[in-house]
Amino acid sequence: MADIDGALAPPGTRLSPRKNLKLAERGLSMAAGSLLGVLAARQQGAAGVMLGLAGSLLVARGMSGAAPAKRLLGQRPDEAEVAKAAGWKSAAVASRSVTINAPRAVVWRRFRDLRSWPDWAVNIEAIGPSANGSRLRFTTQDPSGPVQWTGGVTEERPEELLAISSDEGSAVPVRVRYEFHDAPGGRGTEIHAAVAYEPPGGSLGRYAAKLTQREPGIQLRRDLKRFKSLIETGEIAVNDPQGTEPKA
Amino acid sequence: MRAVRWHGKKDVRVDNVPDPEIVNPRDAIIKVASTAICGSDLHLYDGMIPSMQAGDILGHEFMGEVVALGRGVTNLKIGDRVVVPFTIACGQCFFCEKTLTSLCDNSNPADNQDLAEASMGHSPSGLFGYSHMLGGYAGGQAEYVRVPFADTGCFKVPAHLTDDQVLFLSDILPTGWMGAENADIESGDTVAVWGAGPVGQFAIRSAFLLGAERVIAIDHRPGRLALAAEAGAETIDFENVDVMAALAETTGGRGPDRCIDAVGMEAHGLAIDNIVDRGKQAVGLGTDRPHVLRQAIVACRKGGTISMPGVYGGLVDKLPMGAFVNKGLTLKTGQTHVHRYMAPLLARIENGEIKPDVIISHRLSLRDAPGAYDNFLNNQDEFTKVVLQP
Repeated sequence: MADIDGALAPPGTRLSPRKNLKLAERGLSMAAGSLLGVLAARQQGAAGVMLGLAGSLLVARGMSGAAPAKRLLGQRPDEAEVAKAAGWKSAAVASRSVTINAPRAVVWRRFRDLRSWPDWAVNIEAIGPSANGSRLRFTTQDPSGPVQWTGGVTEERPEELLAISSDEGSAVPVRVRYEFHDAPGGRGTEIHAAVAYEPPGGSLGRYAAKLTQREPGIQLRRDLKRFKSLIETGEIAVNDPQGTEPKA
Repeated sequence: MRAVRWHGKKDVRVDNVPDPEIVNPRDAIIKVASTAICGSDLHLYDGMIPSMQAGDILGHEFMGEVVALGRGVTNLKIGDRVVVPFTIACGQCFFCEKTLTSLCDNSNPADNQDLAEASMGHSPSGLFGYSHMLGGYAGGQAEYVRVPFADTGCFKVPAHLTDDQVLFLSDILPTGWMGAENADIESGDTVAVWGAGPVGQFAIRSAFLLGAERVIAIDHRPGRLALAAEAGAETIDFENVDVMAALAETTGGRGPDRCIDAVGMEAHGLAIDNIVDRGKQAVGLGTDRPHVLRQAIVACRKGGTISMPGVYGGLVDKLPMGAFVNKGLTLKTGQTHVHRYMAPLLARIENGEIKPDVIISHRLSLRDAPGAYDNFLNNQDEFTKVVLQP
């Protein structure tokens, strides 16, 4: 999977290193843990046991230099690099690939038709030329509602690569990159996609967006499937109307 | 329209709901003439399948008349009498092109695929009326049903065959057939079939057609065992006979060459492992009761094949994997690739080799569905197979 800035990286979502604490953080963790231990020794009953447990966990965290919770919730090193390159406070990067049972030329032609993206990309309401015609104007759905922003194609190699970036200062800071490869054995075309964005509200905002299913990583996964379905079958499977509402 | 809806564990009702409409170009609307309750519907009824929502319309075995068509369907016309496979398939993805239609990439909507991917890694095809993980589609125990990808999913049937003769092409006949086909039966083989319910009955008949010399049916319902015996099977009633000893002795110590698990995740019986599994299910520590699979692995002859048309939903444990490896067994399974069996099995119905209607015990009205579910679960000896007419 190509990284968002074009540098090649191993496939899949990368993890932060297991030992992710700096020396100062480790010292602080051990000191706080020891303090809790002292307090626990003076407590009676369940409260003492709980305090003691919390204290020993903090000491273990400090001694090992590994904080699993921080690793799970915090920004990864590759995300920090993207944030630095883009001038964002923080970045979230998600990647995904899909195989489409169609020749690369067909997949590229349909994918490059940006105006038709709303057909399969659920959060995109419209893509058109900007007022002066030199940029692209996007209307997308945010967790808070529809939002308009401008951006442009930053890199393009027909049937190989398409990269799109929002303009600096845009309401939705985002960069996306799609690579197109022939799947082995004549099995069609692989699209390898990555999306990087500046999560409003940092890591917490990212998880809030996931709850509303408007998180770009989730949308990328679903949109690629919808695009695949449209190319392969001419339509996108929907189970509506389920008919679950009782007739009035 | 009237439709049978799932409201919770052991709670199905016939409700009035809006009629389905054409949504996508390749859709059709079918006016249901006959629909059946499947053994796998009982897993839903028992609340064993995750991602059901109150109000879901049940039913994946149905047939009827085409009453509306999307503009993309050119191989059907209004008035066609069709049987619909329970697996929904686009016909154009990698898997459909290989006729592995129950593995279709596109028929499970993208949002629903997330649920399947979280537990299985990949999403199988969408199914009618069988949980949101597997499509969230409204089922066919209703007056009308919307059939997506109808150009690949509606199979025209000739007028001279009755509904009873062709309805089971939608699921259990191909499922029994694929269960036997997956067993790699060679001429002269002895085949053991666990579960003499509808799928087991068709697996028994299919095994003979595929060259088995002996078929042994294992169940505890006398009526079902009698039906198996009518097809030429020998029978073992596991309430009265030690299955393992009986299988070993009757095969001269070799064990059955091929074993078919037509039971799945809700095994009956008072075997110790099954009681433990039942306890784990009750407190949410386990999902499936794989007693039959365990027994089949130990009973099967060395180098034999186990075929598993029975439905499993989640995780199993205490599987005798050492026996499986050291005996060099093969396990084949999967939801049925119904589409590829429709035409050849229809031919076998027409020439009289297979008589699917022999398993029907009750023909009822759709309005009787709640009682029919209850009886199909609790009165299994009498209720072999229920067909409902809207």
